[in-house]
Amino acid sequence: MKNKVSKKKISVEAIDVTKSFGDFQALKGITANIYEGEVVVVFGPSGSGKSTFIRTINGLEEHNSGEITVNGIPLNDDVKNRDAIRGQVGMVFQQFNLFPHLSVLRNITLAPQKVKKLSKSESEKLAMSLLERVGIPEQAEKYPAQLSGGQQQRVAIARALAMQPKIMLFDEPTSALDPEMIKEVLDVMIELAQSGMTMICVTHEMGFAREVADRFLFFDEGLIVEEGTPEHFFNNPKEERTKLFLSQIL
Amino acid sequence: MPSSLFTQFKSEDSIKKKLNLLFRNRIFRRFFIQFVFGIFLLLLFFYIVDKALNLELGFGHLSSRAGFGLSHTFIIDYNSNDSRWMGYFAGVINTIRVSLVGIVLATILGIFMGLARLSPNFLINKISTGYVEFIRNTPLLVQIIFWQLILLQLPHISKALTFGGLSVFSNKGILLPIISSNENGSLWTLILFLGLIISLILRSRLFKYKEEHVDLFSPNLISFFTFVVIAIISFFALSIKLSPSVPEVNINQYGTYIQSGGFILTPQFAAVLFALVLYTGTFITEIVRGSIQSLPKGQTEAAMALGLNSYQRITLIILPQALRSIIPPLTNQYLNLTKNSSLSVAIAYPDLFMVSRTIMNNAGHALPMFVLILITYLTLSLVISLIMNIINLRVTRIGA
Amino acid sequence: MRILLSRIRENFLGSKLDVILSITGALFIYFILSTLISFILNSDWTLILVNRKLMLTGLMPEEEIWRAWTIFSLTTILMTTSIAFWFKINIKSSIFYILLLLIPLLIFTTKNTLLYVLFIMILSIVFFYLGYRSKNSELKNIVSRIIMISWIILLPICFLILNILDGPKMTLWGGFMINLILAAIAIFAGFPLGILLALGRASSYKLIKLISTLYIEVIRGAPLVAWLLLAWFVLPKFLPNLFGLSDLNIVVRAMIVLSLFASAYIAEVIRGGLQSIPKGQEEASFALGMNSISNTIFIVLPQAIRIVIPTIVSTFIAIFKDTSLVFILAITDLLRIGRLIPEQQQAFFGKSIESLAVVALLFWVVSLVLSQISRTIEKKLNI
Repeated sequence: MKNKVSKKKISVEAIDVTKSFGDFQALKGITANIYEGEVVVVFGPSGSGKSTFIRTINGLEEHNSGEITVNGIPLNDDVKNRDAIRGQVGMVFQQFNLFPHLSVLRNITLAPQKVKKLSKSESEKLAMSLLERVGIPEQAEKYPAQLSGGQQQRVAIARALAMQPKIMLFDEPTSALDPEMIKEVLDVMIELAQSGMTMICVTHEMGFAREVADRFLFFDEGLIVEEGTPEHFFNNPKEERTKLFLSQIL
Repeated sequence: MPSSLFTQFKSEDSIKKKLNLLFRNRIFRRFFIQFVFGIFLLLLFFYIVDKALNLELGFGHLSSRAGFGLSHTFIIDYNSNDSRWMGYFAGVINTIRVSLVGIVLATILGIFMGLARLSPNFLINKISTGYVEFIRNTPLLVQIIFWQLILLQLPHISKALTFGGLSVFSNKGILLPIISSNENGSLWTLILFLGLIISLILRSRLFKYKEEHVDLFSPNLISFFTFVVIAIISFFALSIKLSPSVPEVNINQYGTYIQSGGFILTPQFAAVLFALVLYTGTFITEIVRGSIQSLPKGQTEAAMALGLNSYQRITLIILPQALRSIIPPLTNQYLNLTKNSSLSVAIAYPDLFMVSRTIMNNAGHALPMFVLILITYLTLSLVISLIMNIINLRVTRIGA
Repeated sequence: MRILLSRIRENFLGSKLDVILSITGALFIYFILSTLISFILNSDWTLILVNRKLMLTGLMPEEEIWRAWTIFSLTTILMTTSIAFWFKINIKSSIFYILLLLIPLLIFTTKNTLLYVLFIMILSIVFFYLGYRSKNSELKNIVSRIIMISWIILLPICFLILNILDGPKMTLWGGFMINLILAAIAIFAGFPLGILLALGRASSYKLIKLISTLYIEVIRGAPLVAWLLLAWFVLPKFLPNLFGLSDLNIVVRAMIVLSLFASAYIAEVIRGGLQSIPKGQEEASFALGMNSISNTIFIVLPQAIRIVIPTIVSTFIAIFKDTSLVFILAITDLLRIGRLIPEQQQAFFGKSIESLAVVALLFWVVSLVLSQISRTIEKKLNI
């Protein structure tokens, strides 16, 4: 485990964040700090609010109360703030959400051209280097439907990276993949972590988490029940609920 | 949150910065866009109202004497001395009449043709395909006129075709035999209809009851018995006398041929009906076909493996499941049929649209008449949608 | 021989029911075909020869017919080029298209027009060849763009041709031509409007959503004839006094109403497409930092329209058939003329069915072509 935690710079600060869907309260008051360069793994039973939490960070879900600050920018009703945050935060989805009517290359170059106003050649150069980084440069002209699940998710990662984010959010990136394809995606994520990217991952892949994470956050019923280093969790978890959940998945 | 916006607002110095802040706020933006849109809408509204006030509004003219006769009246007696409201009402009844019969017949035709479309029998399959391709691509109006022309080709009444003396086919219409009754006949029909609904409800209740307490009675028999009892009691209570009415043609003292008896399908009604049924039938055919084809093949295979014959397979397995995806587009077709009945204006079948047009030509007041037409058709559509919705809920409640 | 017999057995004589069905079916087909054939052979078809011009272009004066010919040639050439360029050309489909175009062509050719027709045919074959050759060459993209732009500017050019050099008044336009023009305008104007309405109905701005829904439901609530009648009685009173708008002739008013009517139905079709796009697409766009407008234009709309192309084309066909309803505004379209000929021309008195049959045939051919195009587009997009 690499100690990359820089105590000085906080990338994501969440103070007492709540979120409700109708009567159901998904987040009951989350307070957490994510430091620059940190890899934080968020896990917990389904319905515990982990996906909701990371989706509030880039504004896909509006939090009801509390404060969220990303790299010093507060997330509020000011659209300029929200757009600025989205420019610094990249997201990879469980369902990949690639654009099926565009080629792989176009999937990656679209947002840089439209949002960051890169030129065609600049964006394509960037896209090809990212495709190389995730290991599939030869798929550039293909369409998403022609790729395997693992390849599609790697394209999704490249697409998010093309916006040159400072923070990457992963919402169960391997849960929709066949077992033999999980490794290729995790390898990319490991490389990303080793390169110093700040990452928040919601995942069930404990092996990966153990290797790469600096810190774990255990969610249950809308609250952070326990947090700490991987050693702490695997060797002597404090709370009962943590012990119960770990016994079920390990 | 507004309060933080307010404090930020105050803290900015220049007006330009204040405006900037305002417009970047998401909540303000939503409000502003809708506000601008609303202003535009209001301006449009005032403009329209201003122009509309120059027109004749009001429905008063509908109470005055109609002054025109209608070739088809049903249920109510109408003559040119009645008010225009009565005339309009007669038109509405005509619309309902042709739409209701049309819906029933088109559905039956559509289901048969839909099944035929999927039949392995080559001839039947091709007939159905030809039917759909040919009728669907011709405008409905053309078909209505076509049928009217065909029906007018029937022989003159003096040489009318009778099939075994039971019906009369002439260019004045088609007469078919019917059982008719004395004056309480329509009331009795209504009671029969209500009785049918009551016994059907009773039947479903009894079935539910039977699931829990397995007795030896049969819900079908009991509800049928109930229906028969209701029918017989009301029959005698209203002293109904039934008699067959056979159409016949006679010559009266002036040498004119009069047809009487039976019930008559005038060329106009028949033309509109045939065209609507055939045309809408093609769409229903495609809906039924698409629905059945979208069922997983495994259903048919399982049914065949169990040894069910075609009839059982279709009625017990295929159709009930296909019904689920049939009903919404089917409702749409019913609404289309009802609205398409307005085309009877082309051959002078007095549906509600044609009557409205006559009134508009006679008395002006176009805008109120139009609002009336709109409301009437919307109401008809609403009624049909509601009924189909209830059916839909019942169909989709069974199973997943 | 054996295979043939067993094939027949399988398809026609599977069971007792099958036998009955086959016999009934055969009798039915025989009945229909014999009536049809005897009708075709025994009728006097000079009706068409005499009234060709009337049926196709209505009351347009003789000296202005060159305009119709120009439009017809341009359209034919453009169509053959497009077919050659975009569709799979094999023996079977070529024969189909040739037959389809030849039938109306043969019906409507005389000594006078023979030159015109030959000219068009030669040009079409030339462009067909050009289109076919450029399908695989490097000029592919440029030619593709040229063809698409040509289609878009075809309609305004048609209007230009009809109006330049003191063209005939709009009320003189008629016949099949006016059906086609009305349909084209309704589709051209109704499509973008329909997109806006569909987006409005799906919008999260409550007011816009309300107005869009209201508009769509009200338009769909009344039959087209009622709306057309509105164009006659009511619309003139509501038009502003500027630009001479209050004096619009009936043809333009019909175009306006048809476009508005079409937009409501097209909106519903597109809305269905919008609803079937998974929410994740939108989320991915937003996560990448795209704003609402970019998301809609580049991601959601293209996918939605692609999904509903078959339904949209069948809506177009319905709009085309609905143009026959303008009879109620006394516009002399093909159907009205078809009805009037037997009544007003002594020679063809009582020949209503023949007249109607020609009308039906023309509508049928166009609808068939359109649905073939739809099927081809469907197949192409599923690759």
